[in-house]
Amino acid sequence: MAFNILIVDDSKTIRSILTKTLKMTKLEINQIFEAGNGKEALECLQGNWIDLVLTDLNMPVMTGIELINSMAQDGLLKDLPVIVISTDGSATRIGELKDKGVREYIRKPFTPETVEEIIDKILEVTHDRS
Amino acid sequence: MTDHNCMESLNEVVSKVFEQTAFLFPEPANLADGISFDDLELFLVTITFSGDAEGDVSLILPIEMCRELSSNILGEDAGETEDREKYIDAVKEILNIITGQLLTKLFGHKALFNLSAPQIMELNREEFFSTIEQKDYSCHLIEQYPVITTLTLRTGSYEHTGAGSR
Repeated sequence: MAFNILIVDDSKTIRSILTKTLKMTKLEINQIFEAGNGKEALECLQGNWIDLVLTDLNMPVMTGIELINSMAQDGLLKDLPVIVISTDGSATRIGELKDKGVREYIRKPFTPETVEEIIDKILEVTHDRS
Repeated sequence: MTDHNCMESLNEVVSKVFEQTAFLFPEPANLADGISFDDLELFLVTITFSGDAEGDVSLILPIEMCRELSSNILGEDAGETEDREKYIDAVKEILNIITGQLLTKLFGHKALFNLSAPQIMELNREEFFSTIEQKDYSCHLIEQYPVITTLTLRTGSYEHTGAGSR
């Protein structure tokens, strides 16, 4: 199965790094979508089938938390897996996000290996690593 | 004035983040050793934070360093075409990561902060010296380029618990 993944971050640099990272993994990817904030992400989610959302928290126009709240209120989006990728290291904030249904939290700076391992876990993908 | 331990923590975080994200290795330097900023086009990037403490963290660096940083982070050769927007985006993200890591190091994992979007401005020679006169700063050489980092913790908002610091 090939996946559609949405990357949400106001930094083009981070979107570019994550896109490269995803392409380096063994994950079967159909399409990678990009959004610069939560509002753009919601527009993308309404028009496309997405299997996984990777989102930052601090963004202009609509933050990652606002995006997660909006998704939680949408019957079609509430069960879509979300991974937060942020600089915020607060255990309190991470706990709040987990309570909102966020599946995993990756702290910047991240390694490609960490991103791949967590995505594999969320999408329940196994690779033959021999 | 910012606590000496805070500046040490800032230096440690700056080194770690530049190494981990861009494979660049900052070396501590002293402005008194004759580092020249005269011919450099300098940028000031600042993030302010509020929450369990208030203040700001800034980077001052030349455009050449921004280009180097962007190339290393993205794993690209420095292009012949200037793409300043891309270079500056990379610097903003580096400062974002530095600020997040520093706040956890200084205040521990339970503290909550809100970070502003990074603000950027060009600095002329007078503005550069005026900026560093007003703030506690540290200087590094990265490749051959000087990079200044500043940290301000607002009076009254800072209660240093030592959590997370050495």
